[in-house]
Amino acid sequence: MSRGVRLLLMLVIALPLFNGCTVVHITEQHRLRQPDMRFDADPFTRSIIGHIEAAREGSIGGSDGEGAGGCGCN
Amino acid sequence: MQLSAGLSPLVMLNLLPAMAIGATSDPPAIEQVQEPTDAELDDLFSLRTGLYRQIDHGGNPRVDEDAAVYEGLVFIRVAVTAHNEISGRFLGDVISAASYDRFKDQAISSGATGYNPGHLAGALGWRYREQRWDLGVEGSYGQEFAYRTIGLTLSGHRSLWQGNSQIGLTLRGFNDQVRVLRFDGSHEPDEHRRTLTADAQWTQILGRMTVANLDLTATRQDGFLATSFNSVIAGGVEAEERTPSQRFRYAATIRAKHALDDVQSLQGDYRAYTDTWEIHSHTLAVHWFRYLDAGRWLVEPQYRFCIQDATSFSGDAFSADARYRTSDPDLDDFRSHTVSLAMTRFAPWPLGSGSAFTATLAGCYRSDGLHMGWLILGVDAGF
Repeated sequence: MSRGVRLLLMLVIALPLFNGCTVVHITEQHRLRQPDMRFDADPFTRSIIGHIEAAREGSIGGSDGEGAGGCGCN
Repeated sequence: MQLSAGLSPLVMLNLLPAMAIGATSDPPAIEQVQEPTDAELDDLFSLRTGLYRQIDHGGNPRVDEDAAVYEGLVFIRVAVTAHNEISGRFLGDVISAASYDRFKDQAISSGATGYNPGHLAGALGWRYREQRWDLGVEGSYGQEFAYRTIGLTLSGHRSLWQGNSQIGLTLRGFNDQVRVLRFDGSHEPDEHRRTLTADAQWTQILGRMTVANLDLTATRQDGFLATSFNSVIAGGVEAEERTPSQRFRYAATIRAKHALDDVQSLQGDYRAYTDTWEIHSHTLAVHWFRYLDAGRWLVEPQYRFCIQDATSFSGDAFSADARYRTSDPDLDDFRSHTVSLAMTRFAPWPLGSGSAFTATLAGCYRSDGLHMGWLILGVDAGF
């Protein structure tokens, strides 16, 4: 198991511990609802960039956009 | 009316329509401002146009990989009831590249495919949304001179603990029909490629200013997985690329965002990838978000670094009896550095609530000499 995967697993295990510390009431989530705090706030631009990356990087693709490679390639 | 620079962008989004019609009342306090309702956000028209340019200063020496791609995307979403919406997504590419034109012309003249001006794709979707549940289904079709694909996506998301947690699962399946067009212009019977993906997401609020997201993806592909028109040198002569007929791919991404104050935030991403072709990659990205002009603009400089290992059957030359072989630079090792700047201009007037203009400019330097850049312009209009 690579060092990166081990680090990621540790983060996954640690994430619920942060939640145990605090529950942010819905009325206090104002800042988190602003556009800059959303993941993938612009999914359409992200879709085009994902298409570019999938066509050019062998480690991306197969899971996003249309088709396995999106261009008949791997 | 003088607006305070300290007002949040969300407040500004609600104020701008009033400004446009000449309202003179003072801005309401933050607590009095209502966020747009789901119904206001549901109807959306989005347009994106992209120009992608690739410069070949390396890569596969036998292929001219200079290329320009023009891409357009249109998305329409309409709420049909309080909790149901339908959507349509249409995408088209026009590709200008010597290598691409060569294969396409060969394919057309050989009768393997008809006239085909580029890549066209479309998708239709339905989504059910209420306070806690978000369920969706989407069917898609796409084609190019070398392949056709049909796909189905199912997704479900659940909000928990006053929205502090959101978990989701997306299942995707694609069935591609690949036209086996070889580098020398010959063609063989069509082959199939099947792709199944499970994608689990978890978004967790970690505090009033911090949120994190975890995404785990597993993909199984089988069938004809080579790029049919790629070639290699095998036994001293040019021959077709060969790859295994099955591939399992795993990716894990963790992202975290932290608001530094009301007008700026930082995001860090890390992605680890591995697959059964022995490609491994690590990707790191850092984003800085900053509102300008009292929330009318949002700018996002970003840096992304990717390091990828080569597949076990990648090389420059092979023996004649090599079972698997590829010289595709995208399956080889490289490091890439990408710098981009994304800008959003929130513009409720004249397009309506939730409207914005967007622009993204990026440049990517790759250690294998395949450098690239892109410009994507867009508009979102609520209606």
